[in-house]
Amino acid sequence: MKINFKKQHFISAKGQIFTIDGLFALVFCVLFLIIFTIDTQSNKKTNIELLKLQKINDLLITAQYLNIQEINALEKNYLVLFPNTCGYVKINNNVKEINCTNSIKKTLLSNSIKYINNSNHKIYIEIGVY
Amino acid sequence: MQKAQVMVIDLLFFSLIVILIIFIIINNVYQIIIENQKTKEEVFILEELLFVERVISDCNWLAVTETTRTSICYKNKIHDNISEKLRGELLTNNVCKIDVGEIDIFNHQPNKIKWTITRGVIIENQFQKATFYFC
Repeated sequence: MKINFKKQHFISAKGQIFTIDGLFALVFCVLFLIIFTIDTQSNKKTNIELLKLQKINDLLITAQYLNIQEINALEKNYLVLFPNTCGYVKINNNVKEINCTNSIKKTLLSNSIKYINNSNHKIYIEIGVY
Repeated sequence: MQKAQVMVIDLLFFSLIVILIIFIIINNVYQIIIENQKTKEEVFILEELLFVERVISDCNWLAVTETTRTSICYKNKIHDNISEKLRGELLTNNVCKIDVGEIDIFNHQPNKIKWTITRGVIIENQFQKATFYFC
């Protein structure tokens, strides 16, 4: 009886070692998969963000050329480039949110410009896109 | 449980895990190949974004150079004259059409439009949307 008990204990312990080994291997493989997936997504995101930033800069530089001082005029230009994207425009102390009803604000991309116009007034324009 | 049964189950588990690991390795290699292709595509898109940026800011291409200031031109302030040199560059970079507002300033057989890039520009002192079509 004693001999049988010892044998069974040994066998079940051996089985456990195999399974734990396999689990470790699986965990490593899953980690690799997650790393690769995250890396692929970041590339796509960077290009989209770059295009958004380019558009924000377009709005800022053209606002300076056209000497835009009214927030509605800037909003109109914003809607031409971002017809459905939530964001905001700011001229000096006036801020207006655009397309933000029922939208989730995730990461913000924004840029600003400060210049002195023909009438020697300081103009500060900021545009943000979520 | 008999010793033989335990060994068979153990072997089954082991072979199952080996199969899984082999599958995951193959899957990983496949993903790396796909990732490389995606990276190439992303770099290609990045090149197109930078090309469009250059088209609207280069003094020799679409950016307006004022006659009073010979060497200064303005980024995002464009004209609608497509020079022969620019035409060649546009065709090399697969641009088949450029719309500024409602007007086509460049149109070269836009058959299969892959995607578009939209930018904001000033043309004739008005803010307009410039759309670059890539074929």
